[in-house]
Amino acid sequence: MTVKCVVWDLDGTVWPGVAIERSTRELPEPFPRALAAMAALEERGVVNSVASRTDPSMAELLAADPGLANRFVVPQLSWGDKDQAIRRIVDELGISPSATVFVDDNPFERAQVAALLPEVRVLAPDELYAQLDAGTLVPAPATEEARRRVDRYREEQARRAAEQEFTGSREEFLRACGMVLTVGTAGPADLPRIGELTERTHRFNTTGEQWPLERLAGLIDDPRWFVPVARLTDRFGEYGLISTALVERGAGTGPDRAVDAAPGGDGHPDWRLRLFMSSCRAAGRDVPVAVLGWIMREARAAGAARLLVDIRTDLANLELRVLLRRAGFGRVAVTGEHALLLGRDLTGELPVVPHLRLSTEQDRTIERTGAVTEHDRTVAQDRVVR
Amino acid sequence: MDVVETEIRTILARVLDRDPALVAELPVGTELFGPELNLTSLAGARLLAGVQDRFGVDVAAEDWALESLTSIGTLADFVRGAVG
Repeated sequence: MTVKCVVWDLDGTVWPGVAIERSTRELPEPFPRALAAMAALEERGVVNSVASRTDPSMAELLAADPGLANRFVVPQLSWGDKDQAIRRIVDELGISPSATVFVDDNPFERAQVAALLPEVRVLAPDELYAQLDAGTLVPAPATEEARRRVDRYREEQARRAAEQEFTGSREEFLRACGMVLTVGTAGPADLPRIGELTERTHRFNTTGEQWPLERLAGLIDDPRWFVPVARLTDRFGEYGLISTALVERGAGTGPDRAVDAAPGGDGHPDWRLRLFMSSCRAAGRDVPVAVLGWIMREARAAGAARLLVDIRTDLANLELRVLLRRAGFGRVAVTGEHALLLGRDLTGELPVVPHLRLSTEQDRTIERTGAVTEHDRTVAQDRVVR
Repeated sequence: MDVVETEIRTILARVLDRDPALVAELPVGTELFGPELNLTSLAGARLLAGVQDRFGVDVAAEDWALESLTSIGTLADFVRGAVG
């Protein structure tokens, strides 16, 4: 499991000695090695947090310290046990304990966490530094995308805080977030992120198939395929590319990849969703429904009679299967062991998500250049109908 | 109304955070994804988990396309059949 969060002890790990026992109300000077490690982790998209057994009032000092102020997300400072603190951190960040590393100089604290939260990887400071230097702790390279992932965790905390304060209904809150889903077709620059989604998504992933980058690169230029991408922004920040799909235009219903009905063949060929993915990063905002609805409208506009969806029934994607059922998909064919083909005809009302304003790439160019195309008139008109 | 249907209504009220007495009164044909209940995909997954805990029936493993998730009645029929 890729490491997503390192939880730091403070006293004796991030700085020498015990902060609360100092005569002055200042924090000790942090170890340079600790600061360097935190920075290296952030560049690789790993969030730093804290589990410190100290007086909660120390949290203000931490937040006010110039060197440490916003290095930590959901830091836990309390007199309670550290396994409880780590449990709160992983719940708050929505990650698994097995994606978490805990570093503490105190063998008792290490043993306690190891005993009560065995999935967490527990390290002494020197072990952490050695593994970080050897590149075995976090193999992922330092990329801009990885670094932005840390910002997103911060934005998510701001979002959650705002949600707690909001007294209106869930729908009113979501509308107040000013969410815009920008949809378009994938370009070569999107391929690494699409590859990352094939590895990292589970709950909202239809087949769990791994598509090598070269094959993906071939699809985005192939007129028989349609590879949509969706980016989400709201008033708290941006989520980046959070949903995509591999759609075969004019596909048949057979199990294999071969295109049975030639495009534009007899009557109205179907569009077939060979793979659909949506990141949990944007969970709770109905993004998958909005993306599916948009793909359905594109298919209908292209003359398709049905949208087909390949889905596996032995993965952790039950919520996605319910979502498809709710969106009107029914059984078409069994295509293999635990593999099913679902379908929905494209007549009548298609799913729409009121609190997600849909904007197409062209819309953004419209905002910049003012040129309106026929396609946008239908999409804009469609939005008016809602 | 037998124990299968009454229990399903109880689980449904819980996952939807709705008044159990109100859900108990709804007609058996009330659509799960319709405007009255408006079951979301997350609540639907929790409903199926609740049914499995209560009756030991894994609906998602047997009804691949989840066609039993249409109304209170169709789900109750499916579970009744599976419980045997």
